[in-house]
Amino acid sequence: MTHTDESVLSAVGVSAGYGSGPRSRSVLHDVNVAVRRGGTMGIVGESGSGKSTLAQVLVGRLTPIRGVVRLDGTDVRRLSRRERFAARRRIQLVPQDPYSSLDPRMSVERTLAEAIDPRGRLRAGAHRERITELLESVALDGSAAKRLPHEFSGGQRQRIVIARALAVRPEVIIADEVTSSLDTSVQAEILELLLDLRERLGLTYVFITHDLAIAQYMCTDLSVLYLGTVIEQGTTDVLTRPAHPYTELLRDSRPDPSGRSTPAAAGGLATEDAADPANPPSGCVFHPRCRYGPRTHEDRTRCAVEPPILADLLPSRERRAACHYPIKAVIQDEEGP
Amino acid sequence: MATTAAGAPAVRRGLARRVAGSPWAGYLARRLGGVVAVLAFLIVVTFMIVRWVPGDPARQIVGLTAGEEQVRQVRERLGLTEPLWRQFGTYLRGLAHGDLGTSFTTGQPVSSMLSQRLPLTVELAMSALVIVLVVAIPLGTAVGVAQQRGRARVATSSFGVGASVIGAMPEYIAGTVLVYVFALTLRWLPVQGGSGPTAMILPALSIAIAPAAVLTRLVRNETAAVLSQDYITMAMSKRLSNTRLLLRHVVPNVVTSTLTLGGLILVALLGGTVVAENVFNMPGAGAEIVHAIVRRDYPEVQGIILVLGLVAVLINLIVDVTLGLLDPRVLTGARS
Repeated sequence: MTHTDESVLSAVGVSAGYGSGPRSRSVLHDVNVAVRRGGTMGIVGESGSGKSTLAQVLVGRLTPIRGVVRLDGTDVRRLSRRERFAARRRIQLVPQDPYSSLDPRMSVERTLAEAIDPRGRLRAGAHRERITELLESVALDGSAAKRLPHEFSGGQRQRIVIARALAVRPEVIIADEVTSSLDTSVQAEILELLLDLRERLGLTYVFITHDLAIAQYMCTDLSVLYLGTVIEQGTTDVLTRPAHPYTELLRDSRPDPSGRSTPAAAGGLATEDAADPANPPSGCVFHPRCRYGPRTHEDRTRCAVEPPILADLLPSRERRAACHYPIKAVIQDEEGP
Repeated sequence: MATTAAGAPAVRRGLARRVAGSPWAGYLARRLGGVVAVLAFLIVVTFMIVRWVPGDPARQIVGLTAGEEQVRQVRERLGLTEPLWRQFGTYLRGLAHGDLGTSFTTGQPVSSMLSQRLPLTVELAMSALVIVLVVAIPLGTAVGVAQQRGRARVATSSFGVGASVIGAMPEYIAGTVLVYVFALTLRWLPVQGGSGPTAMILPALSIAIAPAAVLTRLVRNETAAVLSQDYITMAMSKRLSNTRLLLRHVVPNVVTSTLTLGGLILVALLGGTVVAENVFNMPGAGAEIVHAIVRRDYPEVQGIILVLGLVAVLINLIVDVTLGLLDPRVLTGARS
């Protein structure tokens, strides 16, 4: 996944934020993410870590301050206006809230027709077949076409939003917390639908979530974001055998359904520990919370001064972490006899 | 909601079939029930209030110098010596036959007085409503768009203050200022009297100005709120033109709430006509009600209030039905 030549979409050294001048807010710092064709890149992290900002950058809605977004290896800034619009159609966003992302006054049919034919060049009935096909692909009945969004449940609305994203036959779908506003049982349906669509249509996903269980289930690759920087990257193995202390903390702070272990017992993520994204700590941004850092090891003063770079940990180049003292288990497993 | 899915497409065609067996039946029944209740309340309360106001209609008619005997005779002739419940019964029987009673002072039927005076009041209120809509909808949308896109920051942020000040201005102050500027100083329009559209401009403006400010602010807020929804961002990413975006996504969503307040504003405009007709000396129902109250002309006061109340209730009913047509969510109360 580190090779940009096989990736369909990638962010290279991207820094981004909102606003300009003295009131500007920097959110992402030198982020590198490469999305393999046909794979699912999970972006995980706490709220405020910059997950949604990264989605905005990848979809082309937010221009990075530094760094480039590459589509099939080509810097999107080099594209002409026309090419850039065509490129945008190849990448579609499915936003988080299925309630605010559908116009309450437009029938499903009109919503989809607008996605297929935004300028209204063709007659109203011309898209009927395609609309039925789209609804079928998200397992909705054709009779849904005439109805208004309020007649649907959250899960059904999310299916409509997915159908709208599929309307332009995209290659990459960026799913931003698509299941976080849904009930658990409905979540599972939507996740199955997305997996099914990935197989049938050969889609590539960028899957943004704060739910590690979902990330592990859905994704082939993972990037862990902390305060706007990627601190660990690799296959989903990242979650089972973390190399970065923060990933380990994330993993351990998952509530255990058996009730035997609580996040607090695992030295978990108390919110008062979380740093201000607008004003990140010096050195390694995670060092004030790190259980292996200068808080517990006096000799590791380096963490508070020198920001670690995201470096390959394994000869297979399947794991990268931004840590001066990565957890050894990962490396030893692969190198050992 | 899965249960409504099967029958829904078939029921879509034709208003009549739509009403039967659809949320419309319940919705209309509730609204009509409300209309009847409001009118009944209005009839009883007006009847009581005019009689509770101190003063004697008979004394008003015969004058201060007349003797007690004369007053007593007039009271008897007007039926005011009868017990209250019997007076009310007579009034109700009249109403049932469409008879609003006879004026104490002129001896004319109240209905013929209304047929002379009501058209002017309605014309005034409608002119004012047109002014309100023509100003509020485009201006509110424009300010909302500018605000949402961070343009013209000084203008958009001072807009709220300006709208509050203008929105709080009573009709008689607005009317006086307008007369001073346009009639007395600039001499563009007549002070009062006259005929045709020029005579209507100042009175209509004086009652339209405050509601226009209030509605403009509402349209601005609604526009800004709609523009911040995800579906607008999604629509913009499809490179819809600005006009298309406004007409297809923004205006239909703004219109619902605008209409709700629009009905209330029209009702308020009817009230405003009372002040405007007196300030501008216009012979409408609004001016007449003040005279009728001063003269304790019970049938006239009751008649005017009842008819204006009926108009107000009907306006609200029309608004409710229109809302139901535009936005089926209101039928079941499913609006988020």
